[in-house]
Amino acid sequence: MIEVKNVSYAYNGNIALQNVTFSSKDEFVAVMGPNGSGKTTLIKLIMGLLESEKGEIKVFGREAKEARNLIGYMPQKDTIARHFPIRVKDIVLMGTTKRRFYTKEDIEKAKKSLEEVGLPHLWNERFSSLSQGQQQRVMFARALAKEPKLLILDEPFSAVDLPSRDKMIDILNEKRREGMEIIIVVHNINPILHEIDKVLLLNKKAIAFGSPREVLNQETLKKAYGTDIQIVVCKEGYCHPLIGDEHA
Amino acid sequence: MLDEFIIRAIIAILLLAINASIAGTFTIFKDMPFLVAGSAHAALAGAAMMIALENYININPLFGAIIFAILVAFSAAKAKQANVAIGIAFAFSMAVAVLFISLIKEQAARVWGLLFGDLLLLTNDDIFLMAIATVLIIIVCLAFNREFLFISFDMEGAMVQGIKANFFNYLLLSIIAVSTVVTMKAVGAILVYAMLIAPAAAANKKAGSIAGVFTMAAFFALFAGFIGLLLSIYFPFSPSAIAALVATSIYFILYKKGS
Repeated sequence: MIEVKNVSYAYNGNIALQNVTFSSKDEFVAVMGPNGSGKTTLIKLIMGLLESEKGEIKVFGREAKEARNLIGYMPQKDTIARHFPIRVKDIVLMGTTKRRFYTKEDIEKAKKSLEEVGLPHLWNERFSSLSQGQQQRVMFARALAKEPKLLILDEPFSAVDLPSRDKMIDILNEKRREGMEIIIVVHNINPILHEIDKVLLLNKKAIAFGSPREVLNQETLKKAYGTDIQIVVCKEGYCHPLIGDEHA
Repeated sequence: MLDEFIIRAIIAILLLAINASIAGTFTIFKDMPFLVAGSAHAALAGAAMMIALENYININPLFGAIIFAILVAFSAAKAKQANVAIGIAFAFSMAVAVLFISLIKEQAARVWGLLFGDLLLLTNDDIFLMAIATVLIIIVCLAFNREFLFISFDMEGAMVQGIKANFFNYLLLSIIAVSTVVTMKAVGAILVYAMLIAPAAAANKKAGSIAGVFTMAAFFALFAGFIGLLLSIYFPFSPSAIAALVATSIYFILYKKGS
């Protein structure tokens, strides 16, 4: 359960978020908005990596920092180091515990997560030798290995091949059914539009928050992106915004 | 029978290789090679200050060097743009160093000694200090290997995992700074950069695993050090300069092979 009330944040006086309020309980929530709209800042605040200047954030009733042990996190691909020969197993094991030494259970947990994302054969491989899609799935496995109550993913489908993306979406749906709460930051919402419960449309302020049918329309999208966004309405009645180079 | 200067130089090369393996490798993993250059030059300022104050506080100048080097490491750990912070600290400490050197003209040679170093002029005290610092560095890095690796790979992920990432970042960068200072007595502030960074950078290009990088970096540093020492026995060469040339050449050869 996440409660964000009137949260504001600025980097050296430059406003990144202003009076953002939303809450979710056991839901699959997507955060979308243009570049620089504060999506990553918001999830960093939820994880307690940044401290809000104004407002309040509670995660499962706790202060953000105190709830970190309940959160599995998959960062943006550009924030991780790929220039040294770290192995897949080392990365997935990182998610299992904060203890100094890994137990047999930790290793089993890590192997299970890697199997879940369909890459058990890469256990001993060098991370840097994998394709971008495989690397993203390994990072996803690390987040799952923690067996979190809340899963936070920052642009997980960025540079990911379609089979990898579909595999990740299947797993997210499965985790959702098992009761895991999920927040996903996306540039292109279309691949998960039918799967999510709520969308937070962000551009420094919360432009709209609600179910995809409530939130995504030409008016709110124009407010968020500052320009007319073409939409395609699918046969299930969802408005698919045509943003970026990937269309619905 | 080996000359005691040679024996001390051999021990220094062994210690240097351990430092190149541990501190050098983590510097490459953290992608902060400039920290070694920054720490080494800040160390000069610290040493010059302690020499200038010798009449009032009689402490080994290397302690002043270590404190200044750690300050650079701290400024790098705190800054959002680490390389900018290191660059500014580098410039500031060089200014301080020159200022103090101008005050201690008759003792300035001792500071210049640190700038160039000399494997063959190490004293028992120097070796003792190097050994103590190296043992401490080994213990800390063995104890916190997992944390250091995690923060090098993904700082924010480490924080979310509950690791005190900021603390370990300060600790790791301080270890690198201390390692730089204790090895610069042997190879000098200018060449310590080559001896700590080049073997680890070359190993990182070639090795297939994390453990492989540590092992290969130690081997490359050892090889470069011994070639430097050997040639300096028979020819009037500076052993540190030859060692640094060999270490950087290994990198270039592997770089060319890898490209």
